[in-house]
Amino acid sequence: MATSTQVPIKSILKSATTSLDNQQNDKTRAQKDRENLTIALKHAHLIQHQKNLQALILSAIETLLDFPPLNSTTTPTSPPPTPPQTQLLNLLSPFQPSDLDDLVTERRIDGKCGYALCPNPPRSSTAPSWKLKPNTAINPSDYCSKPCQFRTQHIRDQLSPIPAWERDPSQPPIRIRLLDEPEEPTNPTKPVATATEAHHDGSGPHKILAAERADNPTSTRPARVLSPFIVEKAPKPFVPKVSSLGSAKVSSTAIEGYEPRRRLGEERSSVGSGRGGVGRGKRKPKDGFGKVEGAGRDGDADGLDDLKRFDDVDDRGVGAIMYGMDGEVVKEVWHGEAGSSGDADEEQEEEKGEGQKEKKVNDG
Amino acid sequence: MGDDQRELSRLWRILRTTKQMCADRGYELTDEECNISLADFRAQYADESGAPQRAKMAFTARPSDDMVKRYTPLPRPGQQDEPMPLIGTIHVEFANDPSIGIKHLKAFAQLLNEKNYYTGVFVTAAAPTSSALKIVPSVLPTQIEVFREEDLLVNISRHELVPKHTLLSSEDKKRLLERYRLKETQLPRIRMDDPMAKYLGLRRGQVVKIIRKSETAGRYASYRWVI
Ligand SMILES: [Zn+2]
Repeated sequence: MATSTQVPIKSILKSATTSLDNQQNDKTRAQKDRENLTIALKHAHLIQHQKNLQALILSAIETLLDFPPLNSTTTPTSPPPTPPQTQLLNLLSPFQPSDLDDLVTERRIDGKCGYALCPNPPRSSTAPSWKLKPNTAINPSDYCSKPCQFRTQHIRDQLSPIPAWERDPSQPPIRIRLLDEPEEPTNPTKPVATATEAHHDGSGPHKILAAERADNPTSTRPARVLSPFIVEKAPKPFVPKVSSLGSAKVSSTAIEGYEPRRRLGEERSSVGSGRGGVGRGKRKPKDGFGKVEGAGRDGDADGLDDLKRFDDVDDRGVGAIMYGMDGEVVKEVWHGEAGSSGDADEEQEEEKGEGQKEKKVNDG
Repeated sequence: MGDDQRELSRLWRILRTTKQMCADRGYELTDEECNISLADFRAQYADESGAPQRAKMAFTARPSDDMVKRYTPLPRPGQQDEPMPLIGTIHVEFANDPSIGIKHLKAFAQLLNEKNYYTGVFVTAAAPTSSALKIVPSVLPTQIEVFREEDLLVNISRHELVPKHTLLSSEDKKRLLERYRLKETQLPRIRMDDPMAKYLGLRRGQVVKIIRKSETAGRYASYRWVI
């Protein structure tokens, strides 16, 4: 049917970009590269930070493995050493509960009571290993006595479950208290300051207590890489480009609501007088070949003219017109014909054979 | 008595696999050493009661010339003196402690340092703790490899379904990448904790050649980058 049709050949190659476009592309690419580099660096720093803290925790475990420190090593001339309690608390500050469990395990293997300030051996040396482990992370056989177990449990309950590298730096570090420590902190430097600050903040004692209990853990994880920067997508106003037949425009050839475009004249050509090359692109209409109607040229978007024209065009019997989404005629079915299609994205004028009316389909 | 026998034959297999592993990597070990008979093993490593002595099983081995060559990096442009080979004597110890903690591995690392061993292989009956394993990267450049005894009962490289893995020297690696015009990152990869990578003691950045047998193609080689 469509053998005699020739449609203008459209290149599938990309049109050559202008140098301006290239410049634009280079610019956007450079910017993208810069952004990617920033993100990569940020990640690298975070990973390094995490590694540093993990190394710090490991070395803290190594130090606490040899706790309590022997007093004999300090010479009388040296300044009074920091009490082991303070050392312990400093070393524990980046710990998670699981790190404390690791420490307890290491101390048990080394034959020491799980509580870092206790020099006694644990009970476990004789404990049967086939015993089911209690559900809690604290295993009584890791300690020399109940008090040591309770002291460790007390510390463990205060440790933040958030890994040290994800803790919010703006949040004051949780102050860990030892069980047998008096309520009033003996070292009134930093912890008190933060506590009073918190009071002045108006956050009240409840918040401090909650922070102490790690009730309300604050993690920086989501905010670390993603900066809270929201780009609103500019809303595109909806412009209906449908014809007045809009509501009735369901096509049988539509694929999932989209109409494959076909060129006008593909089907029509055979209806013509057999003249080859009907509808060849930019051919100017000649009088002898009929007339070209320029409906839609006047910019009518409603397609009323098209419709009207079809009324007088139709001397071939019953037909149906289908409209695509943007108001162009996408399909006409005429009696006795398989149907034809239109493509109106170019100012393309189609010629028909003699005696047949020409029409122009335009999407306005 | 029966327990001792079972333990003895178990350790015999473990020692054989360990020595075969070292020989496969290129250390100088004789075939007799690698394929010691159970009777010889009993004679050498069991005490009077017939119980095996892990402490006696420790051994050291020197890298062969070929292995030294394979581990010598290419000289950097402008570098005058010959680059140092990144390999040296290997020392293998067998530990029977019920649990292995930081202290054990730190002591092992210290021993390696004192004796100037390049690589240490620590074969343990019990699983080391997680923090003990974290010690391993912290003592670099001393190389510590930790193996569980149960992983050495059978020599996985001798299994018929395991293709032959060979480490490429720096020069071979360079030639491979040039020939196929590749960057090393474009190669397929093998993880360092892959059993065969552990068996050969592969290090990050090395390239291993894997020769497989194929019914249709005879033998074909593929290359993997260690990550
Ligand atoms: Zn205790």
